Amino acid sequence: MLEIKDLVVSIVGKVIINGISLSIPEGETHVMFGPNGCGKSSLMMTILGYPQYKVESGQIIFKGQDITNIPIDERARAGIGVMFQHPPAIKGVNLKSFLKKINSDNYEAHKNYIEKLHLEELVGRDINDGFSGGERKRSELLQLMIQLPDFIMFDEPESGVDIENMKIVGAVARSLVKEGHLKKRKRSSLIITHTGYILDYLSADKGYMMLDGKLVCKGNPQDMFKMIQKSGFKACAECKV
Amino acid sequence: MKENIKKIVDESGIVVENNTTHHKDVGLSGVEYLPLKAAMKKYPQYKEKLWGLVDKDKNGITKEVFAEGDVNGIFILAKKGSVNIVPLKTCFLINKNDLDQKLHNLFVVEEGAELHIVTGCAVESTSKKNFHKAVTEMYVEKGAKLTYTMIHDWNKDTEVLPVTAIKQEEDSLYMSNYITFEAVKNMKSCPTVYVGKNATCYMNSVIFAPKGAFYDVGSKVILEGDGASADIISRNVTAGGSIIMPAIIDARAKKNRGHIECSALMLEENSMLDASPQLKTVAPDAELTHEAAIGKISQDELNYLMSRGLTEEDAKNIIIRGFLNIEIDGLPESISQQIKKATELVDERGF
Repeated sequence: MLEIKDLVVSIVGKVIINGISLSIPEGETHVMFGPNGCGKSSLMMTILGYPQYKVESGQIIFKGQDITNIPIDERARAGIGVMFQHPPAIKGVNLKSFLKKINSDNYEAHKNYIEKLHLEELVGRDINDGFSGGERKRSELLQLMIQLPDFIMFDEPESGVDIENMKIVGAVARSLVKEGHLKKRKRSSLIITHTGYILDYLSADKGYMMLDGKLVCKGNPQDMFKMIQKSGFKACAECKV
Repeated sequence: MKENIKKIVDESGIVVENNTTHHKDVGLSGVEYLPLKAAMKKYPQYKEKLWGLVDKDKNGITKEVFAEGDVNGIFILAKKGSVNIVPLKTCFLINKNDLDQKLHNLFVVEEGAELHIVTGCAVESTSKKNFHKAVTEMYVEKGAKLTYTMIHDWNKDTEVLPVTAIKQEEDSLYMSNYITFEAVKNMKSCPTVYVGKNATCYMNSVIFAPKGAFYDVGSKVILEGDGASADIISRNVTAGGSIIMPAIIDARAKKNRGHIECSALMLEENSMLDASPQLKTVAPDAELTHEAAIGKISQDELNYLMSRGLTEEDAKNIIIRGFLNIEIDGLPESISQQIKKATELVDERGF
């Protein structure tokens, strides 16, 4: 579904992704580990098409189409979605009207998720304005439920979320990725995580370790995560445990 | 005539068309509205209020209106204790060329009364070289409430030069909502509000300036009673036009509170924005604050909306409409809906 080939990306002239290749087949969930600042979020923003992330070389292929140079909205309509870690607030625009604008048919079909995500009061408020950490995550998931992308990226889905919210976020993320609402569709996803809590809800098929803009290891995500918890990122990257 | 303005004309209690004033009964209790000349014959005791708040020598406009003598205009009286939630609609309309419309308006909201006025000012889009010069004086008496919502529809060949002053007595509330999304050759307006003891003043303006429009629209609020407060909120978007937004709060008594918020978005080059919030006081316990922000549409917000599949154009429209969508508390629902509708149509007006 998503294939990245020898990708080199810079931001204001500085290389932040340095020769990454990976492939996420249909129906698979991959997870990316790595310390702060290693380039995980930059990779996600590059896949999304944020213009400040300049692709110096390499390719991003999505469902067989080269999307390396197409704008954000076209990638989104092709089926790429993201649960942002720090989504911006947009004043004067209430969440409900935005959801309908994303896809009015899907809004009607899935508005029961407003209740499931405990967002009954928040849908009438301005997008993300004054939302708590947990509320932002739930709002992001609701938007994805309406957008229904084929490939979903989760950027630190646990950050700023308490245990109670984590249960809701985990359960809905799971139903979004693993069950799917159109049975013929097999969604794929890429998770970025520090704590690994999300893996209790979303089982991953493959793990990667990123350091300084490079993928330095790949393997069984559970084993990798255990190693990181025990001995840290660097030890995992060097397989010294 | 545009549909929203035609609706206001049809539903208005009082309309000034060029230099003629029409009025009809719209069933408000305790509210009287008449052409000014007729009103001064019927209620000569209000004559002394004319030129009571605006100095006839203030500027060229006041001098012209004063020199004209017996000018047209409207008189609105909300009698003591009368409360009307249904708004009184008024309209100032120009549908000819080369008109130099001079008006003098007088509004009196007596003690304990509540009145909501909605005014649609409009010029036929084909009319040329017109001037609208209006002196308006408003008296909001003790414990009274007046909201004055103006939804303007000028054209690019019209100059609009009003001079307005409002006097608020103790415990009164005055709210002005100034909304315009159209081109205008030259629009200059800076009402002065004198706010009495424990009285509250809200001055809201929402302006969209298309190419060639020139707006110099602000407010000057003088807090002259103890405990008086004021909020000036100004939201502006320019797409090739110029907007100057002066805002002054001058606190002269004890325990005054004031806040100014001026923000503006610039969508295109060859535009001009000038925000100049000013706070003045001699009172040590005054609480006065301001914030001003001028900039382009946030790229982060734009990217975010586009990442859900919205086109760049749709995303921009949503952000602009959201920016112009100010929450105004204390208005009857019918007026809030009218403002909302005007705001929703803004993207049809030139960006």
